[in-house]
Amino acid sequence: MRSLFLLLIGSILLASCASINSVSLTPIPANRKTQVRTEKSKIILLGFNFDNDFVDEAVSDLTRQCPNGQVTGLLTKDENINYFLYFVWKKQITATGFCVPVAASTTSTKTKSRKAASNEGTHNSISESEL
Amino acid sequence: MLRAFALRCAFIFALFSTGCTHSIHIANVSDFAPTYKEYSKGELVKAKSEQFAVMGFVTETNYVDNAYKKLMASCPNGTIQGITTQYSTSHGFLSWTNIIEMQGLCIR
Amino acid sequence: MQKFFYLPFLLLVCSCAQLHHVQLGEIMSHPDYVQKPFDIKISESGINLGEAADVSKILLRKDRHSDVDNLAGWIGLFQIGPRTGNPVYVKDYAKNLIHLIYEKCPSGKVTGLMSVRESRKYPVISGEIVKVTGYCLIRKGS
Repeated sequence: MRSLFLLLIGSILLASCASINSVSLTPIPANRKTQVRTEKSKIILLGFNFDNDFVDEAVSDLTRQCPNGQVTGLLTKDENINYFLYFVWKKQITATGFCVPVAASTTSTKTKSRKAASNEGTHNSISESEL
Repeated sequence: MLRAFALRCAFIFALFSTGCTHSIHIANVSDFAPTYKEYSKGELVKAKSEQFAVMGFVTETNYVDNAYKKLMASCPNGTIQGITTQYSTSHGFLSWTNIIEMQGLCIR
Repeated sequence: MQKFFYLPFLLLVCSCAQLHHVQLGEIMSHPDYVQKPFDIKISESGINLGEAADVSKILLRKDRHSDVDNLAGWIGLFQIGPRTGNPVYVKDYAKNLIHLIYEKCPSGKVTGLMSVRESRKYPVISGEIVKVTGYCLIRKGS
């Protein structure tokens, strides 16, 4: 009987309600061989939160997983997970995407001039070459 | 006279407002880079995923990932550009349905 | 004195804008292309049931006020759930966003996209707006 009571109390305390705050998605590449993923969260007690710096680590984490490529097809999910009577909640950011090598993300029919442009900056040059 | 008219108006309004309501929380459009293709050069692909919640008692949000996977499955060897992501809720009796809809142009 | 006559009317028509969400995309510029701006605005009417009940109370006798509250409460039970702005009665009003973008920029050379979700609030009703602005890249001289 006592264990049943403890189980009941435990399940009430640990039961959570999840809800989405925002979702965003960037263009999905054809090359989906290398998946990258990061999950960052922060526990907040009674709403006392003084910074959201935990989010910043997500970018560096993804960059580390894809040092020589472009992260694209990125699904970013910002969710709240509320625990017992909303006294405690968890802010969680999950980002899932694909690491595409820069050479693969551009077409094979790149001209010399486009190649020269790609040396200047990875992100823009890829887009420019496709124009 | 005015009161009777107001009552009738209130009744009609109440009748109409009993319908199902919805709320769009987010509607995003992703970039068209790096492909920048015309509509005729691709194929419109769609994915939708739902989650039914009774008074908010749901423990995960995997339906978002399911919509993402469905969208990718509908364009296996192509790039998807201009993806619109819509997150909405359809309200109901002490419950609601969260909906994620994604659509984009599959360039093969 | 005549100015004050219009005051209630002005109060009814003035709206408050509320921004819910905004997102920016890549911005690309190229010497061979000019950026032609475009914007798309899709709006649907939202209704605030609580405010509608308050307004109807003004028109009804005091002894009917509790009926209005009960009715609004009952309707509210069928409309429970998270909301951004006021709820609307049309489900997929922002469904054709991609088609509308291609109408504005048939070439698909779209950059600097900004997606905005906002509300324009009036008494009882509101405009639930999805707005997308961006630039269509057009080759110089074409």
